[in-house]
Amino acid sequence: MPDFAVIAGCALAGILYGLLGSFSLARNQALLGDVLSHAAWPGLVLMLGLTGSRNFAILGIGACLAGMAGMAILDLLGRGSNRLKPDARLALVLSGFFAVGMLLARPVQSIRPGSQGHLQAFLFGQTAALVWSDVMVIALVLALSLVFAASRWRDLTALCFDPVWRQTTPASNMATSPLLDTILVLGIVAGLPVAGVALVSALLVCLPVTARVLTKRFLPGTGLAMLLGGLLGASAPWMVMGLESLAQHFHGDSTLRLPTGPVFVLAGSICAAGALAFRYLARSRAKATGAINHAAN
Amino acid sequence: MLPERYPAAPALDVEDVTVVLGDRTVLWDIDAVVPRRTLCAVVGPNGAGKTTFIRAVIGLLQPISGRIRIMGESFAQACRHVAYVPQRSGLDWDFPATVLDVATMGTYTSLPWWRQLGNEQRRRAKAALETVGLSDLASRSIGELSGGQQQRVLLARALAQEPELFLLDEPFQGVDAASEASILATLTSLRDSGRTVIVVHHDLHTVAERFDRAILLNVRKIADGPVSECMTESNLRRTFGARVGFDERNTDPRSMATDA
Repeated sequence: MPDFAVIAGCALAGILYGLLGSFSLARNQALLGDVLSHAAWPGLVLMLGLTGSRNFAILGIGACLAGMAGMAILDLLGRGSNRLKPDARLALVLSGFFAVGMLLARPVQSIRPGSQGHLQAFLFGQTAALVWSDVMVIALVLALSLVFAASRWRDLTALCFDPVWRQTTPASNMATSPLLDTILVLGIVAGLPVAGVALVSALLVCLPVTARVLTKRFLPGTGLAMLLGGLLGASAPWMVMGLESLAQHFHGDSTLRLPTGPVFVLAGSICAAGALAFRYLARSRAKATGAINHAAN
Repeated sequence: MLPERYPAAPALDVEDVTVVLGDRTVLWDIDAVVPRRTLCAVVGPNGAGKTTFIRAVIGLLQPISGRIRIMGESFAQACRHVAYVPQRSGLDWDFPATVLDVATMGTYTSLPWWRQLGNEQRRRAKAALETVGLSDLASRSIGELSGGQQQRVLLARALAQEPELFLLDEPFQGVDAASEASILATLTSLRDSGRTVIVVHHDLHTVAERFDRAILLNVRKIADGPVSECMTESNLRRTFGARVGFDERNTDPRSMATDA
């Protein structure tokens, strides 16, 4: 039986990423999450070095600040007359911040003995070690995101579909876009204990991609992404248990431990691949039927 | 619901407006007036600054000098009464929405965020789709529309805003003849019902036949006024011929990018 905190944490993270990812995908910013998780990394390392704390609520503050700094630099690089193309901007911020984090990790590990494993856990995620305080952080960010999305739904739709037009309407006075960016940073940071810097943003992409393929409107699509995230998250620890017992059955190896985060991400990616394959088959079939009808006429 | 604070003010009054993008002067010292209840075309070659002109009017670009008044007010004050129809090519048509969803988006502008979408909004959106002839496609995904239909959806969204002033950026670009005729008919009837319509356009034929006024732009303003007066051969040659006093580099990168 998997730990209940792990199940709850994964499920809540899944719902959160289904919601936030739907906005990222709709704004054509699917890579932004990856950049933000890497941008958060040096903040987390620095905070651990400064405080020596293992408390995620404290380390998370550093991660959020660094994530916001990454977002601000991204914005800055996009301004002015010699602005960079979006892909170059994203790559620069991602690699630059991550390099700072890796550079800081060494000295931090030497001042704070025993922190190496802890940092590794945030880099690659250590879902099985989720504790209730981590889950509370995810729940808090999820609640915040839900209130924000529900109260600003219409404006968020306009922002995702046609930000330029929205800028010409009275809605331009509302700070919806910076609020959404801030909540995205909070969401990414809250999910670090689940999937780590490296994988957390995968959930931000695979859940809404699956939903997008299967729905044709924004609200049902977002709902489906959240539902799928919740279901996959809740079942990921069970999948891990199942896979581990399978390994034991065939190899007699009872020491094998599989990581939950990557299993969660992989399950989401398989869903996305399945949905895309489904659409491809449906389309080629519709095309074939169309061709036959055409020939018959 | 006219902003009657300045009932006598023209729909658009542009004075001495200069816009610089990077190190390029895209618009130089533009003066133009568009009276209310007119159908006005903004005409000029590629890179003449037409799109920049519209963007400056709706506050997306800040002129380095000059003054822009819409019905006597600044854009921020008048924006409730202005609808902008962007170039269709700048949008992501894979966005998961139906035709009715996009038309309904136009009603958002007059609805505070804490209020629910009601029957009034739905009625307005449906009426707008009716006007542009897309009622049958209301529940269709926008990704399945033709270019002309996409343009009509954007026009429907603007209609649902119920504005006094419409600003359209190249609405006939890549649009079939039937859609062009339908859009032109809609714009004409808007003018007849007392609205003001400003269209960035480059087909001189339709301008001469169907529009009331024109603004001829090529970085500088060449002429503006009633079509019969300003669309003279010499003005057109000055607009489309040699680039008066400016070299080829004086082009608007935005309009170049979106024209492609």
